Amino acid sequence: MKAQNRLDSIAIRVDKEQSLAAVLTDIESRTSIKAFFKVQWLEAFAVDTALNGRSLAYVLDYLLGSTDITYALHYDYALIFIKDPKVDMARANIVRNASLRRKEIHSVTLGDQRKFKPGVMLRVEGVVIEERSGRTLQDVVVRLDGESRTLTDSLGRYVISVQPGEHILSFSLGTYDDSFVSLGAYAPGQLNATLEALPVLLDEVVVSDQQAVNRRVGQTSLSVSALKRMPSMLGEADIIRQVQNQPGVTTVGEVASGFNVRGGSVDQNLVLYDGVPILNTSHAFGFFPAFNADAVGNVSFFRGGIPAEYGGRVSSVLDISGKEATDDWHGSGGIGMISAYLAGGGTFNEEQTSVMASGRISYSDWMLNSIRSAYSDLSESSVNFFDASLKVSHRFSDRSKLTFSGYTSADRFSLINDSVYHASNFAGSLRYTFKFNDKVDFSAVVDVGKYQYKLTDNYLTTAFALGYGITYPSLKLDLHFEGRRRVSVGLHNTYCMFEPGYLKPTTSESNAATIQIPEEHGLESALYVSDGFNFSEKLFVDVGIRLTMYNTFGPGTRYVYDEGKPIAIQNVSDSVVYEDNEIMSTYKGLEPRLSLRYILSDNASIKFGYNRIFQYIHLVTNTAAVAPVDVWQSSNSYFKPQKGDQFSLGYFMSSRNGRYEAFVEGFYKQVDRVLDYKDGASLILNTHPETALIPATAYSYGVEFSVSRITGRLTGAVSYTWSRSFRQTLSSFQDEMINGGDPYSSNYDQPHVVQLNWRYSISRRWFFTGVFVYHTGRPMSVPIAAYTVDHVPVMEFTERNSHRLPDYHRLDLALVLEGNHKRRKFWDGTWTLSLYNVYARKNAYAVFYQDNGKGVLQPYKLSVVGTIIPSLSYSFKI
Amino acid sequence: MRRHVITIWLLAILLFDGCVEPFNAPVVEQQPGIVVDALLTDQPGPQSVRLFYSSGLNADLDNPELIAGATISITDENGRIEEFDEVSRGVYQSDESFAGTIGQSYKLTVLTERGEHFESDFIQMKPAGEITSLYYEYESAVLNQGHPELPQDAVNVYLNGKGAADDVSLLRWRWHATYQVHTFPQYRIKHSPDGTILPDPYPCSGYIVDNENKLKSIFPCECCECWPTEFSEHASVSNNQTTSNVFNRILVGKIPVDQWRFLYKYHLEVEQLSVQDDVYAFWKLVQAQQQGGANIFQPNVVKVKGNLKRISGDVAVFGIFSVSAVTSAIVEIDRDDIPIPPYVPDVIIQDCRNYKENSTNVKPPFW
Repeated sequence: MKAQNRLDSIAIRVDKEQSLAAVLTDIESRTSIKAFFKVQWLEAFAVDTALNGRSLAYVLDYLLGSTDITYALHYDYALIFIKDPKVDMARANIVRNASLRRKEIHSVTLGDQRKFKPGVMLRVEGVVIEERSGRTLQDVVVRLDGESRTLTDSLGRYVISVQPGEHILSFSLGTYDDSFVSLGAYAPGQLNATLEALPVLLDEVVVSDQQAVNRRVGQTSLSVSALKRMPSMLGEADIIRQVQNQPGVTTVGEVASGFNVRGGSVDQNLVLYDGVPILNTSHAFGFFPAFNADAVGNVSFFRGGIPAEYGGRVSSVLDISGKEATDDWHGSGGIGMISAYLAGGGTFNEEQTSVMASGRISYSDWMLNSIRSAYSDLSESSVNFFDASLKVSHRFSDRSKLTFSGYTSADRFSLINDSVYHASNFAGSLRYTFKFNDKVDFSAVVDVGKYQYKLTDNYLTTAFALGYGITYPSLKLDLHFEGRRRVSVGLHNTYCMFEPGYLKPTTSESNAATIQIPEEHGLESALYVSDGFNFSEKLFVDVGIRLTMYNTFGPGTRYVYDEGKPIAIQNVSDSVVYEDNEIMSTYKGLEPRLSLRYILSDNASIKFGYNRIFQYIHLVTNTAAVAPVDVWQSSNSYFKPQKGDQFSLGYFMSSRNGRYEAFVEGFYKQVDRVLDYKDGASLILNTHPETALIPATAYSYGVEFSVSRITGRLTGAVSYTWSRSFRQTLSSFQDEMINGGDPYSSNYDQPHVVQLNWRYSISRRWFFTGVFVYHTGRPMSVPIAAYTVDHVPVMEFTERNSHRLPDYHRLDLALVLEGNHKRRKFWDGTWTLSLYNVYARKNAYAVFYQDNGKGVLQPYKLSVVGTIIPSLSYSFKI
Repeated sequence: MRRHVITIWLLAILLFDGCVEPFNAPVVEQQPGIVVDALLTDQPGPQSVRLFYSSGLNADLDNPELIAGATISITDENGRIEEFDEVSRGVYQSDESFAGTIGQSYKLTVLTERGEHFESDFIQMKPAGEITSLYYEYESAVLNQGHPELPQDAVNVYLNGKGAADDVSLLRWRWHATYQVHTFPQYRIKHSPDGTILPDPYPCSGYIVDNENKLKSIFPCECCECWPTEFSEHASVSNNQTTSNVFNRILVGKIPVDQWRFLYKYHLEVEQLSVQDDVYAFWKLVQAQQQGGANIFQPNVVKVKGNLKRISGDVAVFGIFSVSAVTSAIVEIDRDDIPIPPYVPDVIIQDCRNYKENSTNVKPPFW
């Protein structure tokens, strides 16, 4: 602000402290100066006797220098004060948005408006707690006038410095209702906030990459809120599908229960439900999600820079926590086209014990039965699934707590011809946590996971039962220190029992063979330490190391194959038999982890991540997606563990008003010893899988760009990913090479991926949401020639994955009508009208070949979704 | 398993209006490769090799472009060379006395007129073991070939076999079968210019048309009774998942029941061939390619690898040189073995030799 002569010559004289407004009125009476201002603008500024003798120009600059109020002198007498409207507008916007979202705004004044020290920044601090339980909340985003300022620490504390004056302070965290405070700050002070868990069970998972600047590289927090608002397939809200819409994540199609992260395969994702790995994440072979979104609390997704506490899968971690009841008794439910669900919970025993339960069951048979088509037999088929969860926790004291979490899902699929497919997942855990003090806590977890399936055929002459199962109990001990450093130490042990499969006839007339593949037993142990600290004011470092070991135990037989020959049964030279509990193979791995965050400014940071991870169990598959009869294979004497290394580097920024966030992140990943299949290999019930699989090196690299708008009536994100994913076999035997040992595209090498999602509030109750996805068609091989040998037709194909399916793209829209917005009402219902695949594109799921009757294979395209799929669903909460 | 997967499609089709439609796969222009179809057995010669170009995807596989003028020989491990003569375009045969000997190794050499040179490694002939029994079972409505509304019955032919002792047996099975058809070539007609219908018997029918425009037999019909032979068109190899040498209830053929095959009887001979590693791998891949069809979870995009190496030239070489000892067994399936007898055949007005492929009017010795 430029000094102005006239104002320099006017000296200040006050007898006692007066408001600036009063001083100006006095000056007007003494001089020809006329001041134009709004009294309330200047009342906050006080002039005390220490300023006597100073010029008016000096005093104005001193008091208003760092505020949004400026002044100017015109015609040597008119002193005009101007208030910059932007800050007010931003505040007004926040207030408007908050009221649009039916938020209450509390008013808090710190200090006396008349008695504050001008020009001094005020320290405002406080603790954020959960309304019901009184527990402190970590990682709450604190925003001042819409600009994000800080996160609460592990004890729920925050500190910010503010200019004196009127502000809007907001607090937000994942599944909690945002809290807004209209703050009059005139003195340093304490301001505590309470957050209320969203009173209802989730509607849908909305991806909110809040605080992109402050999170780890490669981390996304999927906050589960406002659930029924996104479009979905047949009205089933799907967490996995939301993950599939993250930058760097792709999927091979609709019947794909897994997802591919940064060019990795589906088995390289660690999906945890309350800490227990879940191996099958879908119902009905991938059509529907296996998790009831109403029962899910928080979801964290890491696709790079994976912390040391996680291990065992090389590509990503999807950590899902079951919802814990923290409120009065409440419930929710919904009805979709194929399933209905209920969830509910509450606390009792003076809120020391909480219970949360959910269940979902399908009733899709009516759809099958109601459709008349050429496939009339299908009305005899049925598709059923259910899932359920229960979470009970009890606080013995403020320090100790015991939590039980159980989850189960099951599928039953019966077919025209008497065969029945049955699959189930189970995950149960018992967790005890103990707080030694504010800084140290300990947890011990005993859990067990199980995945199994069975296929039975009851047709008289072919009757058989085919089964597979894996059970994995584990014990995990963790110790966390939270202070200036965030240190974690843990010991994790998981015992894996593989029942790799059997086939047996079930009637005496049956022709089915009897095959029993011997069980395998493995023990995965891990010891980790991680340390997160601020190396300097700007550089945050999280360094960790994880030491892993995997042992397999007898009984078992190891075949020795002739050296210098391909691994094939005819080349077995010897076999070694192992007794019960005798160690058959041992692998060790040292896994360094590093995550760095360098703050460039309040709104920008650079992040770096490196992780090495060993993976000891492998999904044996010759398809890109998870197939119903896939087999998880233990590492053993033949299959060495996969070793994955990933580097990622990203630049993150947010706009000053916190409305937009953007990032660009690049990665390079190499995984040694992934298992790829030999051409024509039969993988189901293979008693010698080592003869059907070849180790390959997988490598992928790419860049992800993302821009999101996170506040306002229109929110959403657009992202673009360019990446490549290759594999290469390294063997000297022709039989063990794919494409002659040259690199080839992996099944999910999809160079260009565009993802767009948005949510627009038409009014307080109406929302218009949408998702658009585009990706390059995935690789395939095509036939190029045909011939017969000894009357048998043979097709010649191009090298593996040398060509591509047509590109995939799809638009989904939804219109959501929420209930009225009275804050305390008994029943709150939401209608969602979803349109899946709006322009009815017949995206190719797979290309397969059928004999044209003359021995030549003709290509056919299978489109799982061939039309627009409308659905209407209703959900409620009480 | 396959049915199961098909039902997944059906689910997709019903729930989501999913669909299966012909797909225009990217067209890869490629120079045709040369296919070598060579088999050396321990049975009395002549041994035979076929040489032809691979076909495009819409071509007739049974009539490929044969390659004449090549020089083909088989060399044994002692350096003895057996030269093959071209007996018809693209078909080369050894001397009648030439046959492989179990335990010996053989190498195939192919030199085309255009200078392409292909060779195999030395391949040892292993013993074929024995077929201990061959039997069949009738199964109703098992074949629908994409038309669930048209179920078709079949006769399944099974064998029990043994590999040669003290060896992991890699075996391949193939069959050929003969049956009888009869036609009425004498009933051919033609239209005269004024529109009247006139008899026009095939000359081989033994009938002529007399002055009154009536049929008259002047010698016995030569093309009214024929014996077509059909060959297995599916690769069938032993399971190498087991170290056992005994193979039980191997389904070697699924013979569709139609109006002709079991009208009198069906004479089927199964051969069990010993195959060396690379030859086994070739047939195993072909089998996987054939079985994988219609299964989205078991893709049949299988790159088949032959055992011939290109020494010179720039044309790709496909196919296989198989060195196999052979043991065989015969089964005759009678009309009475078919619970639901085939319906009466249509009246076919044709030279019976042209009605079915590989037909002869010479009654086979076993008939």
